[in-house]
Amino acid sequence: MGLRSFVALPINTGGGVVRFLNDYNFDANTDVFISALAYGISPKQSLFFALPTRLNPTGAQRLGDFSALYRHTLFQKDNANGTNRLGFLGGFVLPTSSKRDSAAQAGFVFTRYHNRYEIDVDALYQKGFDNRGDSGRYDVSWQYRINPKILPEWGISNQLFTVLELNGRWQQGNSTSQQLTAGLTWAKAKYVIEGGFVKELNHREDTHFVLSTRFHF
Amino acid sequence: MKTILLITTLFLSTIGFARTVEVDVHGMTCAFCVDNLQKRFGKMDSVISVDVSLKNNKLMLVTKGDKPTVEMIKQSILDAGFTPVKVTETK
Repeated sequence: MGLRSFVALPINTGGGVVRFLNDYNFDANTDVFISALAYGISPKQSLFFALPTRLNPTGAQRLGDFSALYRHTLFQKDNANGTNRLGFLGGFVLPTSSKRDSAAQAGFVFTRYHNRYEIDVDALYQKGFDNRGDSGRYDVSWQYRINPKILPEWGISNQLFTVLELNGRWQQGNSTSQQLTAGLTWAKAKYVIEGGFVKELNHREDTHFVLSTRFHF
Repeated sequence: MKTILLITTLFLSTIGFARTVEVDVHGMTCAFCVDNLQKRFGKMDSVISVDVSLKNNKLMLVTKGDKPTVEMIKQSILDAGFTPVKVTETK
């Protein structure tokens, strides 16, 4: 799974994942803290929920809008070396303030896992209602397992991955902000810690640091 | 003497019903996949031990008796999000 996106994560039936991510913008000196939850309804159906909170340098907090997404796996081809999966995404955004409006969202997510690397591609479009503008995003993530080079014969070993991503964020009325993300993921049996730097390649050219942890149950 | 004989007979008959099931599983990609299968099968009463190999794409179960059945094992693997390919039973 990529660092900046949550929707590629495989979720088993009746299982779930809780994820906490903090995105610190060095130039604006602000934090965005995102709590997210994923749940597996069936092998092909999963739900994803997220709620961001923005923290300003003054200490003021602003609760973001609640996002809900349904993922349906349309195609899955497993093989001895990995898997290829394609899923449809659909859902909505609910504002947590009466001053903002809601949105509908739809997109897709593709995953290819082969031996030691994984590629995840996702795209999501949000159609705003009333005064809310449209927005969109894409993430192309490449992860490569650098340790261990050879897996143990049986059981679980801790795993370390490098992560490299190209991300895009668009708001109606603006051009797309292209971003480059580089980081590491440390995966244990029951939890993951991952982090990296994000560089905006255009617009304000801000630099971010993202740190995240997730727990599987 | 009779009690010792009864306990020994029961013990040997229990061992005699142990079976090993090895399944080739496709689609496992990470440590969570291994943990997922270990938890799922570890909860089953009749399963004595569970071993998962991410390297060799295998699940190995040692069970008491004939449960879980091959169909139950395959369905559990599918519910976990993977594909069971080949099943080998040894009694």
